[in-house]
Amino acid sequence: MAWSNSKIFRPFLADVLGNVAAFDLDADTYKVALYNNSITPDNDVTSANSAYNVGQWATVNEVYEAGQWNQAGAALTSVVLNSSSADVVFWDAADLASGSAADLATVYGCLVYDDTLTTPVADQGVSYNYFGGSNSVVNGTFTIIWHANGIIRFTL
Amino acid sequence: MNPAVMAHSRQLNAQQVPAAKLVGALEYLTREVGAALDAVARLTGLMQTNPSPTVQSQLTAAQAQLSALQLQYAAAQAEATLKGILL
Repeated sequence: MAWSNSKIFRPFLADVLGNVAAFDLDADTYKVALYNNSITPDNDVTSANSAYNVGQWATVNEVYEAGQWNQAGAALTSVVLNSSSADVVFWDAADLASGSAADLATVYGCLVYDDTLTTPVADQGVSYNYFGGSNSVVNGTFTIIWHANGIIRFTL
Repeated sequence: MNPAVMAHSRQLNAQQVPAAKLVGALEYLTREVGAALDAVARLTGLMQTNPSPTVQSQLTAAQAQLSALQLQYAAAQAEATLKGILL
């Protein structure tokens, strides 16, 4: 098994709507950790298993380079929850770049998680985003260009 | 949503690589330290207006991350200074 798509974690949505976890999509710190193709992301896992360094998201399959794209991920900036258009709510951020001399190999996708949350689950996942295949960089810049529709999007 | 990825590789000779690594690290770590400072400032404000054990634990974790990133930045900066890399 391997990466095949991008998904919002079911427990993320359930925990937000059920007031189980206090995600603040406008204010918390969110991080993006990179992964190779040795994992099989699943949006139906438990809240605990959607978190960074748990289950599929264990560090053994994380791709990183200290000082260029640190282990545990890079922080999202300019995060915004947009609900100004009819029938749509989406969450977006600035495109995210590594340091300019990164060596990152066979990156297939990323985990987006709340780095502020400590309870009931620390570092709980929001979504996983597939890059469509293998991406690598040698002594250069690795940039995630978020889709024009945002990192996650709800069409009502 | 599926994002796109840009991966710009560079051809550098062996002597250029360490300098490029340091410059890249300082750029990246500047951003990461900035994000960590923002997180600590926000949580410090929350502790003043709406203190709770949860916010305190979040603040403690954010401060630890900030300290680690500042140490990493200081190490990269010291190495850059040692190697005479102008920034």
